[in-house]
Amino acid sequence: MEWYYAKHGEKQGPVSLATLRSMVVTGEVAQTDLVWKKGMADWVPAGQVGEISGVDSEPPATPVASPASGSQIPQAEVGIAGPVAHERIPNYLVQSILVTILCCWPFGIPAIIAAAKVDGLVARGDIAGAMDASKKAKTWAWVSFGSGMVFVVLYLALIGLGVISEF
Amino acid sequence: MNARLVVVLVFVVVGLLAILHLKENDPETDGTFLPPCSFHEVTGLHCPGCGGTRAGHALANLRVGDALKKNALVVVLLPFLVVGIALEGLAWVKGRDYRGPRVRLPRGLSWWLPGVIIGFWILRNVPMWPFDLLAPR
Repeated sequence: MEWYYAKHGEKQGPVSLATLRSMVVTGEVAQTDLVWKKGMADWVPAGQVGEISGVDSEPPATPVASPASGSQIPQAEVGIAGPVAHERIPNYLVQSILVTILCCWPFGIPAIIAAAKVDGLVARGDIAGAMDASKKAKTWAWVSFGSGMVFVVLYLALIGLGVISEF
Repeated sequence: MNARLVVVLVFVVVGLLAILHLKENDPETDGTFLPPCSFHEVTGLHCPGCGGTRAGHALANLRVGDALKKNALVVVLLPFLVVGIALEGLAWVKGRDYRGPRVRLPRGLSWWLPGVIIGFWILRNVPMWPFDLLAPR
């Protein structure tokens, strides 16, 4: 069976079970990194998959394995995937707000909107969507930061050339 | 020593010097190394951060009332941003080993923050009372 794992917000793989196990042993894939294979309803932390971590003390991820129906959403929220995934997928919220306020250009707005979505998507169990939003927030934050930096460099250059005076 | 830790420490030192510089220099009379807002320079409109430097100057001199007049949003967000920057810096230094808290929006409030910032952006550019109270003054 082919396994996929998530690193730095990106899907990696496929790799064989044996490869994934050795990656967990060497620490290349952490116990808290999310893994998934075909047939699983959702991404779960590697440490909670018995055949990967070799630890079978956990019950075999029952709340995660069942496809989330409407009535089960509150349960999934406090379930296994929730808090762990929360810590693994950065929302870039602080960075997005900072670039919006400091760089002034509207590129910070899509960053904030994407960043604000990340945690809600994780809570709903949409890990792929959350990773996508996380990546979007990061990209827009950099675009906004870049545009702000271009202005600061131009501004300092113009002062240096004496085109505009400091005030 | 961890290279990322060095970078963060450099940022902390530069940040503290910047706060000191901002405390001593009023952006309205002496803008040394305090660049104006590029959005305002080009469009003449106020961005959500406009007045933020002046608010920072007022705050550094403990004049909260003046700071609120320059940019109320920045003043309100500042405590959260300070905590957020500290946590993100810590998480970045620790990398994958970081297990501490991170800044999270409360559930159901995910549209609230973008809404407030976009609303602030639009309303502070409406040239009539009471909206002009939001513009730097």
